[in-house]
Amino acid sequence: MTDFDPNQFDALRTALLDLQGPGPAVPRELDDAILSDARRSFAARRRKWVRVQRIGAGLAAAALLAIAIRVLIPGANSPVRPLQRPQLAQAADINRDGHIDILDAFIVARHIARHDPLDPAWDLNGDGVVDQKDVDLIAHLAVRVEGGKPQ
Amino acid sequence: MVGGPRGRQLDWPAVGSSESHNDDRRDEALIAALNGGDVSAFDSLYYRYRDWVARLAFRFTASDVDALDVVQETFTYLFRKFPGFVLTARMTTFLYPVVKNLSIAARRKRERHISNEAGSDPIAAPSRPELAQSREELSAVVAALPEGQREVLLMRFVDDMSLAEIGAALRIPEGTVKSRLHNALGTLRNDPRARNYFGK
Repeated sequence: MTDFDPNQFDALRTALLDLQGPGPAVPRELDDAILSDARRSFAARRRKWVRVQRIGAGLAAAALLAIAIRVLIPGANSPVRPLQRPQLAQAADINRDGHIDILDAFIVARHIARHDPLDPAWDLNGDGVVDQKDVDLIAHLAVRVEGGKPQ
Repeated sequence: MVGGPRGRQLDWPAVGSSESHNDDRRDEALIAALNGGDVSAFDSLYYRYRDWVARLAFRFTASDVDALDVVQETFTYLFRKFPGFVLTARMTTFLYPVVKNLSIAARRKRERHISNEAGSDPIAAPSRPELAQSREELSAVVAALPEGQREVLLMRFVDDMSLAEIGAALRIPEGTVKSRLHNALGTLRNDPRARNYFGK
């Protein structure tokens, strides 16, 4: 005999069930209140759920499309590619004095600040715009331990 | 009845029964229907578990009014899970801790307002004056069990939950469930007031 099978203790089980009693009778009004509340809530939540699902599906489709473009058309998602190391060193020498120094960074920074025309060749990080990031990159090259001489 | 609690039917209404909601679909199918927008499936779930929830809530609260409040709050909690609800266990296993926690909260709330209320035993044996003498004695023995043992005993024998379901509902290892059940039955078996329920 196992202690864990209620069928082995029929009398005890029946007595315990009887002890617990039927519990309170749930009035019809409470049934109606709960169920009508549920219907209202479902309608609202269902609309929200469908909206969320649609947005999720849209985002997933966009992500898939982006991945497909990247895989099928190499380079399609980066029209301006970052410069390689030798090109970068050449391009960062803005004033063509043979050295990359803080003056090169200053020239670009001043053009940006004054909204002067910007040379697309100054887009050193290849992100499609000439901005503070390019200035920072020139400054970084200028203060490198191995010096700022273009290669 | 499909998928509902497996409680024994006595004189009182059968667990989960409802004349107007004899839906043969399993709980999983009802939940899938609800997630798919079929709101009527909630009615079936509600009527399948309403009486079990009410009885369980009464077990914890020993108050009709509190138990009915708990019924409402339990099903409000349940329907707010939809859509997107995933049932990973039996519905009773999912609902048990919900009903228990709501019941304990309701009971505490009531006791704050009634300062001379009896102790705060979470599973007090309800007073049933109509019970025969032997049942009253059994009630006293059961009420004297440690709370954890009494809870497991009632879940197994009254709610007909499996050991694994009890463990999942109470978030305790199955070995602990077995141990508590073994100790509870041992106490009952050794008590002269309850011994006759164990036969020869």
